[in-house]
Amino acid sequence: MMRALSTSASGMRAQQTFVDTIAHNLANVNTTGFKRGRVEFQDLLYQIVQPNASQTAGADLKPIQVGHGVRLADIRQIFTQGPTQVTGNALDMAVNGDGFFRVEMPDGSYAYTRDGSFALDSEGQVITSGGLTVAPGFELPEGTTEVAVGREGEFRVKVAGEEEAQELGSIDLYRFANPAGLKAVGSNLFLATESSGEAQEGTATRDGFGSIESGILETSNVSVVEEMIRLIEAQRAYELNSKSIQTTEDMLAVAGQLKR
Amino acid sequence: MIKALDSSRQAMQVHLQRHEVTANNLANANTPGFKRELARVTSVEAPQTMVPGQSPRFPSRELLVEGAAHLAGGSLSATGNPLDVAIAGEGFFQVQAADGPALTRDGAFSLDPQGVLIHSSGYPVMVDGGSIQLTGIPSIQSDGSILDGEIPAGRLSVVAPADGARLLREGDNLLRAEGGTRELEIGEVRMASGFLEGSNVDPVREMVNMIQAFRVYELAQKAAQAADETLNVAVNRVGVLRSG
Repeated sequence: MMRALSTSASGMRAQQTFVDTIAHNLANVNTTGFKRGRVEFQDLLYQIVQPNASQTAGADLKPIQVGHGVRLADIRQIFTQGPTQVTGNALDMAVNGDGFFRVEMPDGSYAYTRDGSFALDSEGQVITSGGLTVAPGFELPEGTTEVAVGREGEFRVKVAGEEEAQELGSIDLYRFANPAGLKAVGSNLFLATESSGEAQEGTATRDGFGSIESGILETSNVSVVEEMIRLIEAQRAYELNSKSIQTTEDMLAVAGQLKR
Repeated sequence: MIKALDSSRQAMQVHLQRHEVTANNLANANTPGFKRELARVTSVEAPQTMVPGQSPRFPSRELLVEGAAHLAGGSLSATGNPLDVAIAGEGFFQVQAADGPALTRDGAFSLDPQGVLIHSSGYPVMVDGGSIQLTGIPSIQSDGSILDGEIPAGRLSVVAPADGARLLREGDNLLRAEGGTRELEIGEVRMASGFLEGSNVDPVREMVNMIQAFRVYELAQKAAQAADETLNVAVNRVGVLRSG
């Protein structure tokens, strides 16, 4: 009897996680470089219920398999390209392809991001909106009047009084064998994990790393309509599972009334 | 009379099992590629206890529930993820599980750190009878062939259970065909990459099944109570001598 109760409870729990993920996606509908999460469910183990009568000779029976509900397999980030938005600011960059920017964390380790809304700090360093240094690290010379970033990530500055623009280096991009395995740590940052594989360093516009588009930001890849439809699915499934719990409880009550 | 009680017990047990199956179907209303279990109540001749020299007593039948996976397709939803694949029509993807190939309709594939194409259970997806390691940006064509960047890398193995084979559920969105499978050829398979097949659980049907199972359960309980009432009369009233 109680199998149906825990089965339905697993269903409600799973749909709750589904709603949580949708809420998180919707909350980040305007977050630069955000990648939506998707929940994946799997069915739980099955038990074959063998009726006594199946021992009857000659009966070709197909005993029923009773399942134990559902479990959350994974919440996976979906790294599809988000729509872009023109800002006109040379330090705003979007990657049109699979590459990630690399930033240096305060502890010296590296994190990766698709959020290219960069800025300068007081010392002329290129930093993220969260204040982290963008790899490989640029320091703008004093008196810089103009900054330009090319599609291959080449970083050029023009200093007051000089005719020619000078190239400071280029912004490297990083790619992963399995981006879905990256660990989201908040602040639009991802960390490499065993599942994502090591970051492969590369140059923009080559080998599928994608080009760097300056003056453009990549917005969130969350689609509101899609999330709303998922929300309806999740809510209704939640409701159905709760009805199943109620029915199971009613059946228990019926069984309890057998003996007067 | 005791026989009537036993019949009611069987009916209650059987319809409880039906309800458990419905509960599991509903719990998997959003599980990709899930196939609902169909439960059917049937009865078989129960083993008779024959007393030698006597004719058998009234024939007795035993209730039981038979099950089978309902293989109708679930609805396809666009995900835009190149490693999500849905099969339109019949057939199953094959997965290299620990103890031999398993079947699945859940096409939410991904790559492991080595670039091997894996199923959500973590087992490698079978391509041309083995697994596949990808290095470039993968794409999957409508006939199931995989391009690794631009290089053809193989074709997803798609099989159908052999005639008369029985599908056993393993959990983790995997099934196993007891009785063999047959390979589907290129012309027989159509796939859509960037789509996922949802669960084929139909809430209306499940709710109707739930109501049915519940009411029959209730009725069987009433029948048991009626039998109990009759027994009560037999035990406590028959043979009572009127005093005075």
